[in-house]
Amino acid sequence: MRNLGRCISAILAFTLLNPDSSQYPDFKSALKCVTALVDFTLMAQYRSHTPDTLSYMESYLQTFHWTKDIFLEFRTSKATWAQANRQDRELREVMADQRAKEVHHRTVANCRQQADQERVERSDRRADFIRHENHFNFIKMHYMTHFASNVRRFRSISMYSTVIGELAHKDQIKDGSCRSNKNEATLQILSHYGRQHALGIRLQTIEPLSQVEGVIVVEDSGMEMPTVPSHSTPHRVLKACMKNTSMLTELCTVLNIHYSNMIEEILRFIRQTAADDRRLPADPAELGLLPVEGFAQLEIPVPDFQETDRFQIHRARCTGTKPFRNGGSSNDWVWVQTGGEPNYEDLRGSVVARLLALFKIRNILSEAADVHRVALVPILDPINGGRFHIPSGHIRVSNRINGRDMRIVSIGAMIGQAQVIPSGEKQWIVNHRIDLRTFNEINKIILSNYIQ
Amino acid sequence: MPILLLALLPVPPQCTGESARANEAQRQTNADVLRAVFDLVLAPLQQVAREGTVMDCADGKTSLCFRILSAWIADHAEHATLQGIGSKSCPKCEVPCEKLGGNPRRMYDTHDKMLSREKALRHEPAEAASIAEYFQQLGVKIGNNVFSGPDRVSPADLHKLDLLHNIYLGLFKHMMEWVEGFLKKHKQQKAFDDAWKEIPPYPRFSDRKRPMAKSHNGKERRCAISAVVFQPYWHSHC
Repeated sequence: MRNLGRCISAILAFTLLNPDSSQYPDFKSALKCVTALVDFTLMAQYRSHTPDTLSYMESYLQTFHWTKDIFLEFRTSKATWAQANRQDRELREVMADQRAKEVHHRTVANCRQQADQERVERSDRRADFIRHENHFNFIKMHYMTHFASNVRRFRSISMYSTVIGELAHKDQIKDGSCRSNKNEATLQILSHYGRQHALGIRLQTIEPLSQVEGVIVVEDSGMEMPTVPSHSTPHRVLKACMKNTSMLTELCTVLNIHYSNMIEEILRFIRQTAADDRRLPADPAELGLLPVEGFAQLEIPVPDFQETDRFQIHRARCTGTKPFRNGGSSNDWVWVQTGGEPNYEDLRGSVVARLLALFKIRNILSEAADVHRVALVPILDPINGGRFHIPSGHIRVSNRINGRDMRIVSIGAMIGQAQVIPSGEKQWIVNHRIDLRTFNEINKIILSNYIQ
Repeated sequence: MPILLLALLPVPPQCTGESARANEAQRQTNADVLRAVFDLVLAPLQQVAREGTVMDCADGKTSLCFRILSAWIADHAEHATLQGIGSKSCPKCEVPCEKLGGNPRRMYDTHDKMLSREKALRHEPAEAASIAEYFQQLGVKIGNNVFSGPDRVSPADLHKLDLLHNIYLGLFKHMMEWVEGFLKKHKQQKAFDDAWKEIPPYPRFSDRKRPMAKSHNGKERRCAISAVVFQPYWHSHC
């Protein structure tokens, strides 16, 4: 269900992309309603809030309430169906009685016409009854009105998650029960988790204390504590080295990329880098001789949203034309930070691109023999300057029509994986609700565009 | 976060279904047993809540601290059992059940046990029926709230909102039924399922190979089956 919330609005936007004139208002309302609910949920997951985020939450909730009636007809309970069927049956009997009482003779055509009229009337009454009986009055709908005030009084919602309680059924009760001798097991279950927990905490305490370097002794207790935090920022790592990719020509053959295009892009990349002794040679012949290593995976550490010391590792794959895990080839979408591109002002320099090649090239002609870790990516242009597409509720991107789209970029410019959903020919919908970080970044852009 | 398992709550016997009176008697017995168990579990906290206890603070000083039971992490069904409210009543406020789906312009009054007690005491015995009716309208069963006894406990504040039960297993489940109905009405269900199956990979994002209608079964649904686990959150009030 969590996955569902992260992608449903983008999939629905794709599904309801081409309505006819009669469907347009319904599709728009449905999309707006679902999007507002998902946005509300995402914002409720923030670990820290500001008055602005709370007011956004409230405005999403209001939008949801304004538009939710589009789904009212699908809120029919079993009891309502049963009552509607009963009323329909009674009405049919009444109509049959009336028909029987009518004495004058009628033609077959008249009878058929009357039967049609009765059917329409019954259907209308049934629809009216169902519409009248349907409602959204269930407790979880009401709880949403308390979210903002709950954050104001008790801080972040995620602090009080029942996930821990649900997990406790296994950790505290089932595991304890399994390890008991089943003879008066209650006391054994109660003591089991406390013992395990105390030992776990003790082990966690011993681990940093056992590091000899950089420790201080806590006064009076004899305990040693580390002087510096052990957190460090992980680096981007190239993994899954490809075979037969020791030269640029071989790499291009393996990945099915035109060699002249590759050289052209590398030369452009060289011209953009600072002129120093670390720079790659600008001669194509020399470039062709440099040793190269191709890779199929890039690990990008992405800091968790509103966390300083926790990272998610995004594993962006680039297998070229080779199949991945018995499926098709896997060339993942990534966000690339491109500085100073005028086209991407609205996305603050971030663009969506597809990984075509990952490699490192060693400059053996220089004294330092520096290694450059780079990627070849075709970048996508944001449609409408990266502005929010109102009907779909998302930003859309497309293949570049004019100018070159291939680009060599340093792997340091990759800021994380992206999720895009195809919507028509050479167009994609950017699913910015896929995680909290992307949602927050894109939302800031959308809101600033609205203010402008 | 330290978690201490204090007690295993009794699982009450099911209502027999023999007669309405027998069922009502069984329900009352279950509520009484639950209340007695909670009185026992919360008893050690009563003295500390009334008189306070001297505790060391981080600044090296000592303070007289009063413990406050600040949260009870459970889903709605569990809160309804513990707080003695109807399944369509809010543990926080006095919203009528026919207004649950609305967007109120102002918040409803909060459940306040002191006010409720005053209201009940102010009524004459002759009006007992009317006061019972009054609380029944609010979805409150008098005398069944296990948190109404201990000091420094505000039952309305114990309930905390939760994303797992309120949103993922609650609203999203409903929303999917609405969306499925909507797509079926407009003949877009297949397009939706095809798009769902073709979503590109993303970290911590799995389970995309089945149609959307079948995707929310299984493990996540099983999470909804829960029992009452005693897991209080404490705030220290200096």
